[in-house]
Amino acid sequence: MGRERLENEIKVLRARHDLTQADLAERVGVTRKTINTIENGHFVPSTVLALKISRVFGVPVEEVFRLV
Amino acid sequence: MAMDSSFARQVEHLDRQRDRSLAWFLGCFLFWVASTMVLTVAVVRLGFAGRAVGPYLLLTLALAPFLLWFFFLGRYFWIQLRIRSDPRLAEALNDELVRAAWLKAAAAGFWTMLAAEVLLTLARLLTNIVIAMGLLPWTAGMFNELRSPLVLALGIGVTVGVYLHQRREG
Repeated sequence: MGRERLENEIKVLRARHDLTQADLAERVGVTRKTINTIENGHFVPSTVLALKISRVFGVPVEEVFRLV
Repeated sequence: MAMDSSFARQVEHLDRQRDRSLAWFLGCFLFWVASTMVLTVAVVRLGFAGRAVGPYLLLTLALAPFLLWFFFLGRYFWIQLRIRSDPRLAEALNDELVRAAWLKAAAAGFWTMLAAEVLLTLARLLTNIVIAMGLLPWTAGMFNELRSPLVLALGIGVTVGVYLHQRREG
């Protein structure tokens, strides 16, 4: 169970919505660095931030983040 | 759909400036502490004063990083004040990554200070034994003098260093 990690589709979804990291950061109210570290799997976001990100893309949170 | 937002640019600019100020503060602060500690040992303990130009040169060199770390710390707080004056900026620039990084950094700083205290106590004990054996008499009480600046410098250094490490981009 400890080996589980969080993967995400933020990069793909950003490209689909033509959003830069800075655009997404502005929409969810964080810095671009935060989006970058989440996107690269270095930082696990809070539930609130994960929900905000999924809301920007208009998809359920499970389509943005998944445990592998 | 991509936005050319001045707000995003402002956030990016302030974020970079803030981290850069902290990095400069850390570098200058550590150089200043290291040079003053070397001076304490060299001038006070070994009595180099008046016989060598090295300590005076070091003192002059230490003055520049002292002024610089003071300047960069001030700059960091000035940027923070600027950020806090705008609620939207304050929310974006003190997001959960920043809070998580400070939390980890504070924990690392605390444990480092604790470890440094233990090591310095052991070092003091060791020097007392060495002095009792008639060796290195100039080390008497040295760790008492160096204790506070060393523990403080390690605490600040590790805290800011870990924070900056946490903030690096992956």
